[in-house]
Amino acid sequence: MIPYPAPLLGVGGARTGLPGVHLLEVQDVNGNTYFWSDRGTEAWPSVLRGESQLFVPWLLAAGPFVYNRSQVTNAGSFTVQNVSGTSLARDVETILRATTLEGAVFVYRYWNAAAQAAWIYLDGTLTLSGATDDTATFRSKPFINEAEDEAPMEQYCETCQLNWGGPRCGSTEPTECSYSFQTCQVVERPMISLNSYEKNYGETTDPSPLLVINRSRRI
Amino acid sequence: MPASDILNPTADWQEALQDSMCPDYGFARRRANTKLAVKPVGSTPWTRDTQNTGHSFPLSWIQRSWLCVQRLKWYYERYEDGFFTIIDWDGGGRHFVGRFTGDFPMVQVGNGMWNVQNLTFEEMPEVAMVKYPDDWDHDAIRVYAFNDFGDQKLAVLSNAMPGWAPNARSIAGIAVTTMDNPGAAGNAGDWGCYEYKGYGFKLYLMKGPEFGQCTVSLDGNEVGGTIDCYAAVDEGPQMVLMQQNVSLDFHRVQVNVSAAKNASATAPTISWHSLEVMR
Repeated sequence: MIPYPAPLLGVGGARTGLPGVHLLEVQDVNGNTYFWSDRGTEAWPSVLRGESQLFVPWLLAAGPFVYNRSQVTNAGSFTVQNVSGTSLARDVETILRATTLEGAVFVYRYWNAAAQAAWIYLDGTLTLSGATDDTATFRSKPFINEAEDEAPMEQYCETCQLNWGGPRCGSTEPTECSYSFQTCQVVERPMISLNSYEKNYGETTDPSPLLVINRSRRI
Repeated sequence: MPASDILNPTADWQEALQDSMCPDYGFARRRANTKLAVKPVGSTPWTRDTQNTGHSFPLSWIQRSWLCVQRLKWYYERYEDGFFTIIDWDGGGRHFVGRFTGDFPMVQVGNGMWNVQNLTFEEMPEVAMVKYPDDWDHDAIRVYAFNDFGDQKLAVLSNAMPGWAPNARSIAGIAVTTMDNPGAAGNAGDWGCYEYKGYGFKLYLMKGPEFGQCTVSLDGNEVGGTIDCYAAVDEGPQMVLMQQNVSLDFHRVQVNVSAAKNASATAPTISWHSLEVMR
């Protein structure tokens, strides 16, 4: 069961009350933080900083949000104004020129000021999904997305895939190996398929077929 | 230049035309709204000029002579791909350069008279004028380093720390925020730049014993030479440069800090007060 914040219970059924405030906090990949709301410049409690921050009125629209009780699929979008700034440069343009909001961490709350609690909460990372001459729209992405994990492309084969002398290899020998098991200088680490080499290890009990390996092969 | 071709050089009756080329009374002097505005639900709106469009007038010539309408049509045809000048004699004699747009609605109404009703004249940006607008008391507006909401509109660049910084001042009892630069050796090349939509401008910088020297460029071209903001006594904001003959367009006025001062000055500070812009 998802616990319902106790302060909201008291105001949840009230027929009148303060309208909610959209609060969006963003921290870009360089560590800069931005605090945006749909109200005039005002201090609101911040999640990213843990203390009150001035939220500037940049947020034009938030949502719709889709919750699927799964961190991977929670999603929403945010539209911020792209008009403010000096007479030469717009604020959003200046931010995007100096850093990037692609992959920036965000925390969004639909905040009930009377209860000091959020009706709606969403966090994740941002991606720029569109811009017009006066707005910029960001879409939320989850923190965890395996499809975006980057890993080195390696093949598990009879030729070692590690860089000689690199951190994963760990060799401190003066001469380079031949990227084979026979020439390996750190035998506990080679990334090599121990195939059944021709007679080198005596008769194998492994039922895998024997392959003739040209040991002079190097990459 | 085409601007010197004036549709109605005089407000008087022209014997040769048996008429006057001035349009009828009572037309709307429209100025296109070029402000882009967005407004968060609980805040003041953000605005920005996005077009250099100028004025437009729906003009009518009712019960006019054939010669008058003939000449109007010639202006319509000749300057479809060009521009000419029209003078608003009733509106203070201000010149406008532009051309007629839309179709040309000439209608014969009998007795040799013709009507041309609601012909649109549209002002043209970026072109030269015979006489640039000069009613600074009524047509010009003042823009400051910060707008009325406190948002910084003056773009600044600093090569050194400290660079430009806002300075809350009380000038004749009125609270004003200027943008100041210390003008130290490392500040040479610092600039403050304001982009506006309009015609000419008057630049106001603070003058007094502690102010130094700068140069000013308009759209990247230096104008006015070196400006010395030194004065023996505190004079407050003073007009240090005026450029009146500037066409309607977006313009950038940039104050470049020289990091130099008059021998009598106590400091080389440069302080941006405001820009008066002709609209």
